Amino acid sequence: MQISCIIFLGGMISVLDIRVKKKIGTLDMDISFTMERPLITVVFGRSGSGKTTLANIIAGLLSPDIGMIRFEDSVYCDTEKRIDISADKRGIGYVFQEHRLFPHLNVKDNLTFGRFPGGRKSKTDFSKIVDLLKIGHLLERYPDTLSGGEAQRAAIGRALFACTSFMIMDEPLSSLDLRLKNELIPYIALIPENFSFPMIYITHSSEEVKKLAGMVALINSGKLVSYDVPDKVYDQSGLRPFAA
Amino acid sequence: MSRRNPAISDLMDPSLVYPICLTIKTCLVSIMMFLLIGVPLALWISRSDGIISKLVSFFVTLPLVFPPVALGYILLVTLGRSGIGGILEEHTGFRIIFSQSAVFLAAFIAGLPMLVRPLQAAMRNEMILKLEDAARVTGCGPFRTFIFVTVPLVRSTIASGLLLGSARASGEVGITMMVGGNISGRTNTISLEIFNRVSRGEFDEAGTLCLLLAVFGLLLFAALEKLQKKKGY
Repeated sequence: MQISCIIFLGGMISVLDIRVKKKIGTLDMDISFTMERPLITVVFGRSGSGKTTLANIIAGLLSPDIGMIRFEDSVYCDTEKRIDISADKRGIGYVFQEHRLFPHLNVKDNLTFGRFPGGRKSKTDFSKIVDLLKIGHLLERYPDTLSGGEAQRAAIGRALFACTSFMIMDEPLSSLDLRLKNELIPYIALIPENFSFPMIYITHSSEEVKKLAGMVALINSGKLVSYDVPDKVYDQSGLRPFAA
Repeated sequence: MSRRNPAISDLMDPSLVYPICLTIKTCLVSIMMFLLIGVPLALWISRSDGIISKLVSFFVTLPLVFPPVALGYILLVTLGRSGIGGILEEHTGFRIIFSQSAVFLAAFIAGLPMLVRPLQAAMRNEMILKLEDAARVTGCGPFRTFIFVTVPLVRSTIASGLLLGSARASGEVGITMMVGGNISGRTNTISLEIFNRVSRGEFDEAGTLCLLLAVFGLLLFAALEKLQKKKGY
């Protein structure tokens, strides 16, 4: 009944509720929003606006001072009820700024790290991930022999294979040059439709917002400035909508 | 007394065989203890900012900055009949002072900082912390993260720490003499036996044992050099 109401109201089911407050150093974060499936929600803001802190709070690597994070039926964190599910049990697929592949494991063992030793039961087919990201020929190689783009593709694969709830990508392209960025964006755009995971995509590049965003959450100094479709959220100059 | 040159045949002398065997045993036992206690201890010290971990770190480092004989004496008083050792003996019948266990303990205490100090520094490396976060979000709890990510990433530091620690353990004299008692056929390690032989004027036997330690030291050095070259991540 409740679900149908939401469908009726917004045309989509709300899946991820986030209400967090946190003070770290000079950052005073206070953010609330609800994410919907199966879109890519881009969290956009300048460096230092608290994007990575938000991602780490959602992933469970940091705890909010006050707040609640709920994904579908599971409460990940509720400071009032003293619930704080640890990062390993949230089922999130997390892609970091740098690839963070384990240097002592080859690509295959990195990709399957979520299954062993991670203990997650993947919702996706291993070969589907390998095919989509075109990393089949890299499986036996070690991370230090990979190019930047190959390593980041493998890192995306590892996150996808470990993902059982939703994906977080924290500026996955920021360490790559322009050519590699353009090469990788289509792979990322394919993820929601192929794997039906909702995705939080963090970036400070309006280019990436235009190419990927279903919804945009604009963040400034730890506060949510606006949350809407790209057409209605304006870039940092405040003049142009992202989709323009 | 006739003087000969140090000879391999001396190594068959039962009075030398015992200290050699005891020293090998001491090395093996202390390596086991370094792995089981030293490695988790280094992790805990590197991850904790509390006063207790600082205190533990201080005690681990003590053998490097405090004269071994003095440390040995403190241990002797603490573990002796009038200290903790007395209570232990009363309840379990087990006496640590002047036993082989005392030799192992002395070796462990002396060698521990050689492993723990470099290891806790290596575990504070930012790249390792980042990879641990990656393991956490990919499904590993703290223990599996430690076993499958942290330990493999610092394995060369562990290996060189074990080598240096066991070298230090095998050469330990001050603490071993105090808590072990330097009893022939019970707690006389190679280093102590060298001291005993020289004090009795048996220079050939002392020379043979020195030669043996020199070979051990050389092998260790070669192993360390090799590790240094391999140190990748």
